[in-house]
Parts: sequence; structure tokens; C-alpha cells
Amino acid sequence: MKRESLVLMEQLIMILIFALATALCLRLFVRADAISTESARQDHAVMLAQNAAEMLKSGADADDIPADEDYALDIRMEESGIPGLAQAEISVFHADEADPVYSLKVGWQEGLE
Amino acid sequence: MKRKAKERLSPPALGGTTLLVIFAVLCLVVFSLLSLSTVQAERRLSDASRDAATAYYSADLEAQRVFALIRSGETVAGVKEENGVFSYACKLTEDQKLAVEIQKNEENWQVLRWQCVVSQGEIDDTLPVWSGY
Repeated sequence: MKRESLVLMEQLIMILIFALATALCLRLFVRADAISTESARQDHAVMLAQNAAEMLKSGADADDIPADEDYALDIRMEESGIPGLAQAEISVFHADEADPVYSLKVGWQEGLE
Repeated sequence: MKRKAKERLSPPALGGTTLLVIFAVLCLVVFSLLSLSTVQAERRLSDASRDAATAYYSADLEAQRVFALIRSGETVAGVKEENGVFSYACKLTEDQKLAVEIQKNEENWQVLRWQCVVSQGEIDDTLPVWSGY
């Protein structure tokens, strides 16, 4: 076999191997990106829920609590069954997901100065 | 001149492409695994942070319930009263609890303590290093 055809064959095989390896590694990169996005979303949702909980505890109205872009807050007041105790469930939604990213129950005293 | 031109047009050495591809593939694999392990560590941290927030607000809600029951004049199990100061604790995690102390001042209630504390033993802050003896 001529040397030129050997080099050409080697190059073709290497291109094939490189393409396979790139495809595998790209899948890993895409998976890493998805996990990273999910973690960032969860962190942000936890922060929003904590902000909302602390605002409710400090006496803010549920309608006055802002949410960030792409996120929505759902604050549902619940019956605590104990006089003087207010209770609410805070759910944080993302625009891309139907289920809440994070939910939190919070309680606070009413009628205290 | 003709000979020189022929030498310049000769194909590259056999194996050069293989070495280049091996290097590129190694780089790709190493970087992709590094990025995956980094985001998995981020994910673990994010989950731990979420669990900590959930545990804190769960204990806080329980403490608020007990506080409301004390305010309404009920006797709650696990609540100690000393000189008008009510103290109790709510479980936060296996090792932590939310310690609460409240006091009634004439008409109003005052929160003296609302603090996360270690519930079992002491925090081990000793380092297992050789002391030199």
C-alpha cells in the first residue's frame, strides 16, 4: 500500500474516533449544564421562599411580596387552629415548570407588638 | 528545484494525526468529567442548603405553635417555666435544636432567645495532629 493512502486511512479513522469521542463528551457537557441550571434554579427558589417567609413574619401583606423575573410566588394562608398563630404555605414556581420548585411552611404570631 | 518541490509536497509522517487526536480526546474527556464533578458538588451543596432551610422553618413553625399555645394560656409538655420565663426547644436536625426563651412583660410577650444550638455533646474542634510528643 502506498504511504499516501496509509496516511489518508489513518486520518479518516482518527476523524471517526474524534467524532465519537466528541459526541460522548458533548452529552456529558449537556448533562452538566442541565444539573447546573437545576441547582441554580433551586437555590434561587429557596432564597425567594425564605425572603417571602421573613417578610410575612415581619408583618408584610402576601400580595406585596415581589418575585423575580421567571419566578412566581404562591402564598396560601392556612388555618393553624391555634388562636394568635398565622400560618402560610409559600410555593415558588419557575416559568418552565408546572410543579413548584420549592415549598415552605411558615408560622408567625399575630397581635404581638 | 524539482527535487525540493517534491520533498515539500510529501505527506505528513504516519502517526502524527493519531497523536493529535489522542491529545484532543484526552482534553475533552478530562474537561467534561471535571465539569460534571463540579456541578455534582454544586448540586450536593444546593440540596444541603435546601434541606437546612426546610429543617429550620419546620422547627420555627413548631416553636411558633408552642409560643401561641403558651400565649393562649395552655400548658404544653416540654416547656419549663422559671420566674416568668418559658423555655423550650424544637428539634432542628439530629445534632441541632431551636432553643426558645420567652417572657411575659405585663401585657406583651418578649422573645429572649430564638437560637439554633447544638443538641448533643460538644462540637469537636480538635484537630488530629501530632502534638510533638
